[in-house]
Amino acid sequence: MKLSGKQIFWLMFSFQFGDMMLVINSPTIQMSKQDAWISHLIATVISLFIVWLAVKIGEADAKSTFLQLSKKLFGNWFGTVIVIVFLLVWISVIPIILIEISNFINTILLPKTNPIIFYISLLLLLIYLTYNGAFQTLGRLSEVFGPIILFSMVLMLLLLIKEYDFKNILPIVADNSFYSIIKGSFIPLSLLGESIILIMLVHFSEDSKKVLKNAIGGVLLSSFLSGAVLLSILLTFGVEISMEMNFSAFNVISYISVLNFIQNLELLAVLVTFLSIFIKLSLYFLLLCHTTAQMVNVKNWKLLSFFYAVPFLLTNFTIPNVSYSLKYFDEFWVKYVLPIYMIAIPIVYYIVIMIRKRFFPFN
Amino acid sequence: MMKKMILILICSSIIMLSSCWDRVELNDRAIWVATGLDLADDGQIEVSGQIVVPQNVAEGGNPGGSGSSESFFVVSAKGDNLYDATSKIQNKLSRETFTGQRLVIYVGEELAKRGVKDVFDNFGRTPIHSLRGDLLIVKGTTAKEAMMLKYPLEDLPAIATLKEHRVSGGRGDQVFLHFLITSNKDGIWPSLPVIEIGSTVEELDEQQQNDINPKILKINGVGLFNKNLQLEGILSNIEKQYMLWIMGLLDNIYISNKDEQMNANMLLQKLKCKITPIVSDDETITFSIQLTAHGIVQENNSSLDLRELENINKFENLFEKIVERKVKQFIEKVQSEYGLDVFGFGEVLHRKEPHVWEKVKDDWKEMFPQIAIDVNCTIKLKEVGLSGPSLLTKDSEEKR
Repeated sequence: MKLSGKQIFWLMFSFQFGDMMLVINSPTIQMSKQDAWISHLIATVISLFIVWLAVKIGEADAKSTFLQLSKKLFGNWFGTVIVIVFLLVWISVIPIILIEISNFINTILLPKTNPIIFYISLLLLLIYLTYNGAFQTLGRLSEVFGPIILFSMVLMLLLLIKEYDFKNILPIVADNSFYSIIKGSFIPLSLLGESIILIMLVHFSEDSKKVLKNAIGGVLLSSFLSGAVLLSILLTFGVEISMEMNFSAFNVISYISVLNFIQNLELLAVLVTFLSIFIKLSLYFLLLCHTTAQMVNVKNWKLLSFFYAVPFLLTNFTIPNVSYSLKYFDEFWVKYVLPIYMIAIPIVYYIVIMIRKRFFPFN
Repeated sequence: MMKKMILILICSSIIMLSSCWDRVELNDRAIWVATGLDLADDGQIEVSGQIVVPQNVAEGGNPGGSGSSESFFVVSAKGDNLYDATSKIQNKLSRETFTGQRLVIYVGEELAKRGVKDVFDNFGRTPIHSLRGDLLIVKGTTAKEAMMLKYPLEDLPAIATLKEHRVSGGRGDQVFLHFLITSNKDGIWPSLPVIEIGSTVEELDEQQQNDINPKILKINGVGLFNKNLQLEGILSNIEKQYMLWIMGLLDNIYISNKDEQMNANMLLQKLKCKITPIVSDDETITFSIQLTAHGIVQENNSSLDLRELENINKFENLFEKIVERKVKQFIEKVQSEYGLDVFGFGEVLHRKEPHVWEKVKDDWKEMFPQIAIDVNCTIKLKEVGLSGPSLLTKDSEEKR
């Protein structure tokens, strides 16, 4: 059993949405002020190109995994090196996601809970998931979580409309240079571009021809929804205070008040974010275990989930605080991971595949 | 079988026993509905809290029981900053304070004059507070004093303040967010509503104050702040309404006129305000303000028959003139006396002429008092009520 088209759609949607809502809003507004929504739009267009690229690379030889494909294209040695780059990115990002989500729940919901509890329960869940169906379960899980996320977010955004003040996004493209708007678009792009993992997902899909359509749909939906969140923040709070907030999406949702009765909806938003980030975490974790196992020739790849869970648990003690993860995002993720991992490597793959196809087609 | 049982037992106990350490029973919470902030003698801050007594808020009056039957009480403590004082308040309370339901923040006039820049940070930092909330300056006395007053109609005085504010046509629970936004923008100066201690019946002396005509809090005007968030001056209630109209935040306003010719009152609804900056060739900036409203005649103590079209026009013109004159006078007063752009003309310029704003941004505070402003008002009379002329006019008088 493999991932169906519908599952790919919801998987891509939930994979991206939660982290985007949590991370990008304030940095984007800091960079491109009231034109942040234009930055977001630009990022969406570029990310569609990345999705297309990723699916085309995956489709070229859907029968082989990413490692096998790399070895075919670049030879045993160099192919492995590129895959190691991918692995390193995933290994570095999983602890960051863990600290982000635990810090976030600590701040908003459960201030007295020791973060190690979140780490242990999340990692246990990940191991459980690996042993119970892995990718297929993840696909089904996102089919369940995706609509919940979509429905509750749309509901909350609708309730927020009466707080909008359209003066907050005026004047359009006047205070900012075009350069800073482009620069601002790198921030949402660095998360939307994570859809590069589609290269590997094509191998796990039922019908590789359906992937492109559904993946584009999922990415567009998550980008549209997180763009709507960004715009709601701008329209409700204005530029000046929203760029100073840590979790502006949650501030704006806690501002909802309907007839003094429907209030404190941010609890729902926390739930939604958690569901979505869990999907992201599991997808990275599964791919990490699966690819590593192939590389080191371990027959039972699920065993590796234990091997990885322990060091990830220990990162709870080694990462000092959340400012580390902010630094990681600014200094490493946007500056190096975005151009190399999400853009340069895929383009090289694509070109090599095109050349290779002309002379020796894949069988 | 045994193994399964043990597994189920362990799993269920994990569900039962875990994740409870963040929970606080409702019975262990002191629900805090209003915060008061005052300047203490030695430069410290005094924080007061209005706390609900749940058993006395029951519907249908106060149930019997020992002790006081008030539905609230006030606690206060001094400290270096807001949280220092709040933690000292906790020493006086048997229950943990819960500020998630806080409705109103009162700021004493003394503290407002000293400046509130270093006071409010906690309200945006603790996740339990929403940015929604009312924020008022207490004129003439301390916030602590104001919070101890009961209000006859409501169980909790904080609710009374919030409702009073909303009914009187203010910004209500959006004030706090509005204050945060305006103190961060370059082209608008912050303003806060003002409340003061008054009496239900006017001009009572101390002896006549009793349960039937108690002291209460009344909304009275608006306070203007400079960019250091220090209170610079207080405007009257009607001026506050003009101000909110210009800012586009007012729902309705009563305008009355009394002279030999006419003694009448009109309710204006659907208030709109369009501000247009006009930049001439030599770069002088003027603003044209276009106020529009729908009018409903409330009172017409004259023989003027409002069934006649020309009388209606006369009525409209008269009130348009009044509004234009008063609003213009008011803006000029703010320009000359305070020099603070509380209306946000700077922001309008920023939105509509961003390139001009870029040049004048840094000198806006000096420029604002000299800006020429042109006010234009259009009132459409929509309803005249149930009678043409006043019912007390004789036929022979009717016309004019």
